[in-house]
Amino acid sequence: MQYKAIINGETVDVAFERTATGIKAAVGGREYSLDVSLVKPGVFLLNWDTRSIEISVLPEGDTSSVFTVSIEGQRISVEILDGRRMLQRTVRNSDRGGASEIRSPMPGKIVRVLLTSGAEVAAGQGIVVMEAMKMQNEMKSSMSGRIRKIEVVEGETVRSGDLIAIVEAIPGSE
Amino acid sequence: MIKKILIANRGEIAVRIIRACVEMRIGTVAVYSDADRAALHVRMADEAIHIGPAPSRESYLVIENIIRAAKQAEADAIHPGYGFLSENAAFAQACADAGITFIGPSPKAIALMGSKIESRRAVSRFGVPMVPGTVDPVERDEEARTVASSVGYPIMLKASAGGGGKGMRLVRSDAELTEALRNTRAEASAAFGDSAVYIEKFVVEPRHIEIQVLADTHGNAVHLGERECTIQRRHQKVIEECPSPVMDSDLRGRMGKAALDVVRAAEYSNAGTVEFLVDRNRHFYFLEMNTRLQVEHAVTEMVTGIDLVKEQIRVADGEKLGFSQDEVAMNGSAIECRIYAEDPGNNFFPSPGMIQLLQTPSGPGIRDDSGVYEGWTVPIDYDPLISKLVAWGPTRRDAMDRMQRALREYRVKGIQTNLNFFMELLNDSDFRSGQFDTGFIDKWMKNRIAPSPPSQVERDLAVLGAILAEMEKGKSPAELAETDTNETPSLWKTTGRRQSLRH
Repeated sequence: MQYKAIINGETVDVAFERTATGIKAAVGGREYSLDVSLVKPGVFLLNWDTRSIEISVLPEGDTSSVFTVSIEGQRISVEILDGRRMLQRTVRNSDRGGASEIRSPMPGKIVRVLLTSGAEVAAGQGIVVMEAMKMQNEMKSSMSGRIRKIEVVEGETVRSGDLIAIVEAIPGSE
Repeated sequence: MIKKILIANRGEIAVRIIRACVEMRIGTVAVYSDADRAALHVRMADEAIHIGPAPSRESYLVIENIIRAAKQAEADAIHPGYGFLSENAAFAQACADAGITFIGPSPKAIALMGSKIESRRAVSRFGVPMVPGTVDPVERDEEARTVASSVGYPIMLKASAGGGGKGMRLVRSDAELTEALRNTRAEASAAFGDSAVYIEKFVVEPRHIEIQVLADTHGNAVHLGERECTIQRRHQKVIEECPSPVMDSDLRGRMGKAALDVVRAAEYSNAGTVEFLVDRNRHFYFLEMNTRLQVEHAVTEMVTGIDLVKEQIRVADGEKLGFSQDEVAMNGSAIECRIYAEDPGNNFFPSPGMIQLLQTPSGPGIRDDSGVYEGWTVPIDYDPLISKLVAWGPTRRDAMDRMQRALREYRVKGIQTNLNFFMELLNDSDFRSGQFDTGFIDKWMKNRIAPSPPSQVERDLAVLGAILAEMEKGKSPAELAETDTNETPSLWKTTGRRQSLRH
């Protein structure tokens, strides 16, 4: 099977094939032959040559194909695209057209909404104030533009990954 | 005889206390807020009583609710743990009024030691050395200026009602004093409802070393040696050790004697901790007494072999201490890391959420005092401490090596933790040599070398792991259970089946 993976912002092609005890694969042309055991959901034991490497792989959110992989004390984020998803991604990007989504990085409570829909916002400007574990933090816009929509209200509890706001570029401006 | 104890706390310390009770065949009653319905301490206790909504000021801090729960369960004693109501004299008094044994010192001793000013006054009568400064609050700015210049800059301004590193400010010169006074008073007023502040000389390159004491209600008291608590971040302890790498038996004897003088000054009973600053010339100064069990009590237990929680219960039950000072022996070295749900890569921002995967370390010399389990959601409402990892070894070096080994075994996924931060810290040569002061973490954070990025092979294997997980996704629990059997190839069978369904 052919996949594309995005790792550290870089896209690599992967040829992936099952064997009786594991996998044979080529990642960006580099060939690997591994034995694989499922230790428990989310934990794989890889035997590569004589090395025994345990990795954990957990999805970032319920439906996404972005995974946090922990390997030898390192934490790496990897997105997997199969043919269908590569297509979806192109469509979604063109629809979004220069907009950026601000999503909650962790569960918490919105204590203050600083801007309203339609307001202009500068890159780095706070949009809402969120409280998690007794600390307050501003969720900031990554780009300058206009607030298309604020998806939360004051006092609302949000989960990790929930949409907070959408910022769109102002047409005609850089 | 105490037969049933209500634990007025949550998290790892509630679990720790339940364990002692079970060993002593004492019944246990947990209390819980809305956020803690399925918390580990609730799962482990014999009985559990709901005491209110998630915010602690509406649940764990409400004295009436706790007392009502104790009466409902017919508990004859309450253990307060640390934090929450543990150093609240009114709570200890409310227990006494309700005919329930409070496992801790008297309300009078709590109140005395809870006041920075009253405690300094009481302790000074016994000749316990103190950092030069005022015992009374400074009222006017001119008075503060006079005191500050007589003890000499730099000085610390401290809120009389403060604690836990909050409400204090370093002042380096006369020019900074007026503004610092204004800000500290305002902060103290907002945080503690009391704007009184006092002045202390700032001890340069200090170490923070505390002495564990244990006293019964018959006038017997012992100290159980020291804990090294110098490694702090934002005035919060991060790593603790027993013994301290700078301690010798002469200094321990003198600090132990001073700590027992504090016990006498407060007419103290039960377990307590006397905190000292130690300067580079090994002079020590009394800071404060914590009138409760400490978070870091486990390192003392590992080295002395004494179970502090059981001793607390026995003393509260009116028993005499079962051993004398001469019988307290320190064996080997222990170190503790506080495992927090926080992200060191993002300025230690808290990281609550669901623990999707938990593998805890074990093996020689390892103790993991945890308050969580796999599948538990760390709530946003409380302190993000999830576990205290303790390693013991015959020497300090053995203890550090074991800690590093245990940190490698420890896996927590789904939330961020400071496990890697400790891995790096325990590699630091200054930490390993024991040469540090309270400014260590700040300096270390500035100078630390960023960990090397993942290698090509690690990145490639991570990609393959993600594809494996992608293939596993959407499988039913039954299918996953199937892969748990010895038939390794079934993993591939089920994946194949799912793919054939999809197409």
